[in-house]
Amino acid sequence: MTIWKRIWDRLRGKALRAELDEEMAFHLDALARDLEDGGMSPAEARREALRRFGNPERVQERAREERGFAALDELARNVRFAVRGLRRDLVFSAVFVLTLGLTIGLGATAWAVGKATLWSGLPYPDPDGLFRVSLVNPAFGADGIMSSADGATWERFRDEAGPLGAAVYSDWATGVNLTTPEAAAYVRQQRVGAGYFRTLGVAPARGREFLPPEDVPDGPSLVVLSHGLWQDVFRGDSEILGTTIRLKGDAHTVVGIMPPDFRTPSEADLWTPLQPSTTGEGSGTNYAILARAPEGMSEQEVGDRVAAIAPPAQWADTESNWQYGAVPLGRAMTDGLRTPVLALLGGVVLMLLVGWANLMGLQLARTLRRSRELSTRRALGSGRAALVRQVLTENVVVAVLGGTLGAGLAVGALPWIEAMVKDRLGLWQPLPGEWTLVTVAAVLTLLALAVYALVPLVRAGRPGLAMNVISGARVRGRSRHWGRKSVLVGQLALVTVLLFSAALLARSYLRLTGLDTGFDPQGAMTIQVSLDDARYGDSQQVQAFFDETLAVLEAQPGVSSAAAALSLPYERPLNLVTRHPGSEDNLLANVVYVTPGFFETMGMPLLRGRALARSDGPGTRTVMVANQAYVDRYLEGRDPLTSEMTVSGSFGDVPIVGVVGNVQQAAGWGGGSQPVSETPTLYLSAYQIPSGFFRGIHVWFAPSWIVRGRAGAVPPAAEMRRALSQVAPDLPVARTISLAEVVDQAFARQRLEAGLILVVTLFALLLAGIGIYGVIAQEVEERRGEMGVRMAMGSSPGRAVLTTGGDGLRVAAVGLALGLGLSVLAGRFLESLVWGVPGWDAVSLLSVTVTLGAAAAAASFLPAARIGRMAPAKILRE
Amino acid sequence: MLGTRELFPGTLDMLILKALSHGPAHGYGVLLRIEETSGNLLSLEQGSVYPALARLEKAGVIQADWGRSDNNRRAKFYRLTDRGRSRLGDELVQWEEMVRAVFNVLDAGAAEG
Repeated sequence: MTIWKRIWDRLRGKALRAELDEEMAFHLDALARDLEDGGMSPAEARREALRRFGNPERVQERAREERGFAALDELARNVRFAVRGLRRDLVFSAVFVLTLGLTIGLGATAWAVGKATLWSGLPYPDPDGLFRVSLVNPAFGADGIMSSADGATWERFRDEAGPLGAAVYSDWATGVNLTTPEAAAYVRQQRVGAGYFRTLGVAPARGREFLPPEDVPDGPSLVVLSHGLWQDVFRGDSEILGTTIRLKGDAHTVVGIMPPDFRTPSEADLWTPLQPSTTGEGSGTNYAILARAPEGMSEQEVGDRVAAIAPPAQWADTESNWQYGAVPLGRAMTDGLRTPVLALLGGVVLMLLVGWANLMGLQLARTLRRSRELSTRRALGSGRAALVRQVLTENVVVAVLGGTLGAGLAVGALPWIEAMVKDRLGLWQPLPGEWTLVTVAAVLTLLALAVYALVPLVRAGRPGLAMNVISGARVRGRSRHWGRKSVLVGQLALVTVLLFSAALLARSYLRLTGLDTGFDPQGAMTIQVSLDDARYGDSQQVQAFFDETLAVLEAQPGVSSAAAALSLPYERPLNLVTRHPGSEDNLLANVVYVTPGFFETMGMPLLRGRALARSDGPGTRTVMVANQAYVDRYLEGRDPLTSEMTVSGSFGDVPIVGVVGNVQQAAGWGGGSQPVSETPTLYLSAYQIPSGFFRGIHVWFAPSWIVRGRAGAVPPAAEMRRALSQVAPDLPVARTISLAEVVDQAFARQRLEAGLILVVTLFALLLAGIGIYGVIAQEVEERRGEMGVRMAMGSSPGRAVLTTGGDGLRVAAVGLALGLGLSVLAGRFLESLVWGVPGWDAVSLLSVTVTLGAAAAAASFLPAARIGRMAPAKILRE
Repeated sequence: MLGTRELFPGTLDMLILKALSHGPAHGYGVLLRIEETSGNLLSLEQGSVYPALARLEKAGVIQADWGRSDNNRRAKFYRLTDRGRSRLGDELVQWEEMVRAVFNVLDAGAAEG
């Protein structure tokens, strides 16, 4: 009989029983009737029939056995037994199932994040043939990759690529204004060169991509729509191809629509031609170059081919050995993510191990407690295999409960996790689906089962268990717990590593948030608007717009002042090359155009000279204000107020009229890898910026308005939006966010990393605490007699408590020592994620020692203190 | 008279198969056929037929269907399947071999005695 038939019959069990009852009743009636025919009285015949038939209940039982229900009956019995056992010891069961569920839930979630960020691969055909062309210098290791290129580099690469497919694009997505008859929307635009989609291997679902003749400076205004935008804004209108939409204040012809699942890390709503040049933005390293290897070409061959192209002059000049290299696109995209994601996953794996070690310990303790029960059963004739089956059933029942809880947690947390990690980790591929998560949870459950059920199973199957019945529970020694204790040492070592990592990340995060902002982040609102728009194509239009909007904003009740700036502190600024007049030395500086009230509105101190004034306008000589970092780094003791600097981008020689204090900026240079730093910065007046510079720079940056409220109150975002829309009704607002939030968001990723590690660590610490507590509590229970004797002989209760509790501390000390050693290794791995604290940070090491010591002491002496409350006379009588 | 316990192991199965080889019957009918054809030498604990029937059904050598008895009561009728028929043949051959072997042993003993 197949297993399915058996299960079907099992479900039919009751029906079969009833059928046999009916059959037997028929038999008895027929037999009785025949006996009556033979001359018996009805009552006599009935009695005789029953006698000859035998016990019907026994017949039922034997028939059931014959039908092969024995194994299923045993399983049902074992499950019932296991459930009863779980209910009898509710605290144990709850701790067990919760531990299992939480570890599995966290494990599956962490896997999902790793899968989506690191292991998904690129969503393009033949992804291994895609490369990002970069300048590479092996001597600098991970820092020796310069992945952006200028326009001249692109042209040389395009002409010399030979068999390689090549395309240029910008991976810096910008917001742009889209105007439809219904509404104005702010959408994400990515600029890509001709052949970009073909090189990736994905053709537009409708229409075509940009052609080389169109992808030139001042080429036609074209756009390719994403499927999502086409559906949401244009309602899937298939007539839209070839028509124009109003984008950036100007008509753009729709030439293509991408397929639904096409995506790039830029998460663009639409694509416009890059139209690369060698001047303007093309004079800087603002482009990315994509290469596609022809079929059959190896990575090595691609690398050689690319390396044969001469590097740009300014890189070849240096003594160092920069040359072109081909970085696999998948790796290029995950480079910055690998360490933080692996750190998180590593943390979760450590927590998982600590948790499962606890489960192993709990099961071990339970098995020992049950030695007598198991031995008695064996003595009473239970087969070894039957006992193993019973113990296995018990373990599987908790696995099913814990696994279900874990899968439920992971699936339930999925949307929440997605929202949390999406922006902070740059997640652009979808998280795995629910059923994938359930599968992963199931695999984790099986792994956990293998870890915690092994020892109980081996013990249940071990021969010679019967000895325990004879010896009873009296054979006890301190050595009995050595197995459990070595597991505890391992657990504590892992927890130490986790605690140290969390302390390190937290200290780094606190240091970042504790940096001197250089301005007053409280009580101010910011509004961002894209001016990459044909309606704001020349200086007069932009300047008139600034005048009108600032006047309206400042007229709002509760507003004390307002200003506009190209970029905000804590965010990424534009950088330009500056020089001492007549010098060839390039001095990189952030350049920010601001309206005159900027320093006052931001609360930045003027240190010397004067601030920019409204009178610094189009008709007068261009002037600028430097920050202290610029003065310190580049002016070398010269008086800044009599200095002029040459500013690239057609500004010529510009005198410095004032010096302001530094603010933190996410410059990406000049401050190491730290997310923000005080970098040399020049402030120019927005009223002295030429039209061409506005147009070029507004493609890359959307300026912000800063509105400071009176008496520290943040002006409400909605009112500021309304005020702005009075001036420009169809200009969408890109973002409204308070200045304090701007600061906050700069470290969102560090906060996430530190926060997640901290949560995982606290959970692991709790688990380890439960582990110590369990072992000591058990030891106290077992050594009651010994302690009773000792106390009766004159040992003080305090001494007894110390002896027992000290055991836990000794275990903790060994684990801690081991863990501190491992922590130094972990610190080295985490070094790229922390700033201002070394990887072997002594404060972190010390605080870990104190925390773990305190936790271990609490977990050891809480149960041990029970000994002190015992009455020796009572114990001895037991 | 022989009771159930005096039967060789496996004999009851063979007897049931033999009884059913004459045509479908319900449990009581099987029993009556065995008792009658044995010349009333065999008197079984009647209930023990049913576990045996369950065992044979599970082995696929007999098949059960609900039908009507002579006095029009619902009863479960068993009949031999093709597999049951060939199994009966095998068992009869084996049985004869065993009986012959046992007789040979007993005869040899008698000759020496």
